[in-house]
Amino acid sequence: MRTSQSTDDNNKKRKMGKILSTYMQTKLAITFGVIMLALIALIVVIYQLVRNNSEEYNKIVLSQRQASYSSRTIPFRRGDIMDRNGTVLATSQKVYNLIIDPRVIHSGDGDRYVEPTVKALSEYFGYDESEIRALLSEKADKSYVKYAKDLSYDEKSGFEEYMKQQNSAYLKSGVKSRIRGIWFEDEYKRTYPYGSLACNVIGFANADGSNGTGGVEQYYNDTLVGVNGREYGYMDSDTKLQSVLKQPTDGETIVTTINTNIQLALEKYLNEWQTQDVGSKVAAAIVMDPNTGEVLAMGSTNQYDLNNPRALDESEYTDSRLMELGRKEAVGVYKREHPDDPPITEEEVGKYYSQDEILSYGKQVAWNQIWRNVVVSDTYEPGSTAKSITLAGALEERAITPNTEFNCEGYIELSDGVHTWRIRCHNHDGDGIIDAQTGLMRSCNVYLMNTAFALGGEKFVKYQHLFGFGEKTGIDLPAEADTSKLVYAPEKLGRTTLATNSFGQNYNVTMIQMAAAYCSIINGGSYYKPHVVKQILNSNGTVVENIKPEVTRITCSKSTSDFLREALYQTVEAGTGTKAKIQGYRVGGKTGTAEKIPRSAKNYLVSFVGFAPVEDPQLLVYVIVDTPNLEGEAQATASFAINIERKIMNDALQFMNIAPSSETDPANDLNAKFAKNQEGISNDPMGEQTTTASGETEEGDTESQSAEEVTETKPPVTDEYIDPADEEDGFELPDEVPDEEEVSDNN
Amino acid sequence: MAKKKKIKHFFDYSLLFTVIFITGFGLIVMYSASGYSAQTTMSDAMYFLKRQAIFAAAGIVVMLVVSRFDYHLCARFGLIFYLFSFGLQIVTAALGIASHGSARWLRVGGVSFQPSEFMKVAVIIQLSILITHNGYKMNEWKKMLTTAAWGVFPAILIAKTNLSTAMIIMGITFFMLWISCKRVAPFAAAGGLISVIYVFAYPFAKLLQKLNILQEYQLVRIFAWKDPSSYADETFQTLQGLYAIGSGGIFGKGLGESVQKFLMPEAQNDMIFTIICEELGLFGAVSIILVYAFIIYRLYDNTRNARDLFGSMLTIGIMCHVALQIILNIAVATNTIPNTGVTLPFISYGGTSLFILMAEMGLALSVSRQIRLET
Repeated sequence: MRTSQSTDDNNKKRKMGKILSTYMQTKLAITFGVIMLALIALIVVIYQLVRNNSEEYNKIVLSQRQASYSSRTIPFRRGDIMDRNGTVLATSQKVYNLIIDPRVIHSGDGDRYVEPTVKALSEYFGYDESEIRALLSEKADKSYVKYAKDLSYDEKSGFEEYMKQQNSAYLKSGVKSRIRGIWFEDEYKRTYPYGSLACNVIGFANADGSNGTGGVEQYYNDTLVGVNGREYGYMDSDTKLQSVLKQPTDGETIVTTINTNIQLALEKYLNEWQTQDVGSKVAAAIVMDPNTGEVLAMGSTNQYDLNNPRALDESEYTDSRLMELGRKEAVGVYKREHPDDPPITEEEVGKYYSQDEILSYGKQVAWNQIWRNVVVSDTYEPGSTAKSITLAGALEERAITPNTEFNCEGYIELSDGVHTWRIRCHNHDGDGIIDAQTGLMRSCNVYLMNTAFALGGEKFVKYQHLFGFGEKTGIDLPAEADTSKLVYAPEKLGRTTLATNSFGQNYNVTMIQMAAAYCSIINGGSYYKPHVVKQILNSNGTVVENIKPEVTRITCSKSTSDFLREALYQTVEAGTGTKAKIQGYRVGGKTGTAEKIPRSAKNYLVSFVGFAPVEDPQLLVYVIVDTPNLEGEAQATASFAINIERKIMNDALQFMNIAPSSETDPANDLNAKFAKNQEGISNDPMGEQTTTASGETEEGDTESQSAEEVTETKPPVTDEYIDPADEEDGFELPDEVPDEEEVSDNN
Repeated sequence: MAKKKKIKHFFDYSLLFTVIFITGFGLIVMYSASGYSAQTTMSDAMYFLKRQAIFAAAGIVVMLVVSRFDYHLCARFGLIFYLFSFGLQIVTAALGIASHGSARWLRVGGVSFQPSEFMKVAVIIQLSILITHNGYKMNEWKKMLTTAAWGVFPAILIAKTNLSTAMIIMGITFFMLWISCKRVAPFAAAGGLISVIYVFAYPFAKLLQKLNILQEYQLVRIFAWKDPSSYADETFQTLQGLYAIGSGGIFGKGLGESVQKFLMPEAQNDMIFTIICEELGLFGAVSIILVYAFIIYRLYDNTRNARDLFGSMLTIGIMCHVALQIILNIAVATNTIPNTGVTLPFISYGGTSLFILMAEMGLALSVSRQIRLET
């Protein structure tokens, strides 16, 4: 095969450009021309595309881009919250929302998507056709209409399968109709299986699970949340729609220190007190492990359903009450918004704010009231429970010894030059000459005042802070009250206030401070940071972090601790706290009866802190009852708190399997109680337990007490109370605390 | 004396540098179009760029090496190369049947390539050999048809798995025969037939649908071509390409600013022209087309001045190949013809395609090198 012709032969031809014959030249030129023409034609096509469609396509491109961003997020799963034994207290379940895209449905020419789509929805889900049609025409320009919520996986996948079948049937039969513009959005629904249980510890999360309000849900929000995933589609080389899935990162699970059984018992007895007994403005309780600072249970009579946190009790929060709260709040809002203008009064609020605005302010106030965690956010004057702290300080500083004796004549007179205060003891007739233990047992104010004088103001304040008063405990819950301004600075602490401070008046504490301080007193002097979270697990259940008990400081020596433990035991055995006795266990504790501000209102806050077993304390239960629903001095009976405490303690001891030191009372046995109620643990806070009618017992006691008091023999005092028969009111306390301004929480 | 004997040879530097320029430009655009999908799927935004750059570098070396060889070597190995390519094609088809899919790719020692790309070159070389060999006998019907068979057979074999490549091979065969024969009528008839099909495909498909002879899904490509927005699922890529071109405007959104590349992964392949339009606008698109036109013009010029018929025919084949791919690709991008997978020469992502094109350009340069300049 010769392909190369002799160059010599063709030289001439080539030179003349005649290697190709004429027709070839022509045809080649035509070919070249056709190619060029084709290219010019394509340029024209592109020019027309750009000229005619530039604006429209730009809009489409932008809207597509937005759609691809906003519509395909895969939500993360918020971590669970469990109790210390793995009982789930808060969890997130996957549900699906049905999204209608009216824009897409209307996009087909001749409305070829509308009919099939409406038909499919009504056929498969049984939705009302006319309603969907109305929605489609009303929101024709919208791309995202959430039509149904909380569909199950079966409903979602079933519909998707149905849609696919229908569409391929349409394609095969040659009809242009298609089902379009329906898709499902993943969502997680937060549920709280126990409803209101431990509401203050758990808190609640918002709808998309990105934020929490109150409790662990708020404090540990960063741990509980995860990162959203994403899904997007593209065409592969065979022009099939492929989707890429970027999985979300789920949140971590939190194991709290809460013991569900103890929490149930705590709430049951608080509710029992509130609804079947005398009741009070508020009552609250906390159960702690004194050896670790772990909170085993925490709660108050302020409870709300975590599954429905914004539901207000209509009997309590009537519209007029809400308006009243709203008007008050509006005044404050106006002041914040217009700091320079003169403040408005409640009557003027109507001029500046609409009815709806005032109502919504009222609701916010009401919600904050029901969501408020009394145990960590509310402050109050602790009363006599603080006496142990005064004694601990004095013993540590050797200002007194356990054998130091003071004579109580029923009162001490103090003068600051302007006023003269006669500060009384509970026992107006005086306790006589007593030592430290008896002083505590009888809750003698005079003994404690003398102790404080011996200790001196500066050291007294030092011990207040050492035991955590005026400091934040650092508990891992939100909105802990700042009490730094609610205790006296040493230079401002006069003799009178030192005197009243010694028995827990004229300064404010929170429950968690008091409970944590007592834990350190009875465990040998180690102040543990109170905490509600024990462990953090990742979404697979592997431990990510163990939260270890943390000793922040040493408050007192072992000998002081031993002495106080014994003295507190004697207080329950033969002092003001005898009602706290539980047969079979050695229980220690201290009563408290604080007169509230304003003193003239004669309202009281009674409390009791108890622990058991005395030889090796495993449990600490602290209960306060704020303003029992009684008049005047009748409120001032620590038994109200003791009764609640005893019941909680009794159940908690058994739940914790703490061995009794002697024979227990079969009537207290939980198993016996639950035998009646087959389910084992009662979820019903109103469980059918027989209540000891503490109100009546109280009266009986008080009477016998006052009768006996007349005698000089000074019998053991078995309750702390104020003698209503006395002509003088209360303790005659000065009507002030360091800073009267209420510390508002940041909820 | 020695000076007189020395013949000055032409070398088409303008073609060489234009090819290198457009390959470099292609890498930039390819990176812009593929960066996002490379990042999401390979977690390396440069993944496709790196691969393409290696092929481009190797391609340029091969182009330069081939241009130094005498193109008449092709004549000696043309038949062997043709049979080898044909064999590969059969192997690929057989493997495709074995794996119950339409196979286009062949893997040899970890490198996968498309044998149909080789077939294009093989057909160009083989037809050039035959036409040169036949000379004026090409005007005989018998010679013409037997020559055409060398291009038509492989085209039919490939058509099953890769219609677009088959169309290009057919196109190359058509144009090479058209230039080498004196006849006009059969070619005009064929061209006319194609135009008629192009114009009447849609009404005809509609008729078939109405008569219920063919099911709609068999004609979807044709329907989707004329009415893309009604078949949004089937024509996703075409429609997105049109949006890209339209939204680019006159001067485009700027290099790297394409929005559609996020929606159109594999934008670096067949639809890259739409990304060029979106980023550089009508201005950029026309510029690119002008560069291509210049390449085609250079090949046309070399064809006219080639030293012999064999060189001319080779260059004609190469010119037709390049021109057909450019036209088909842009026509698909603008939805002027139904969707077929044709790559845009020198720019689209694809190692085999780029490599083969470079080798062809080397061949064309080798032809140009033997053009003697009159001194």
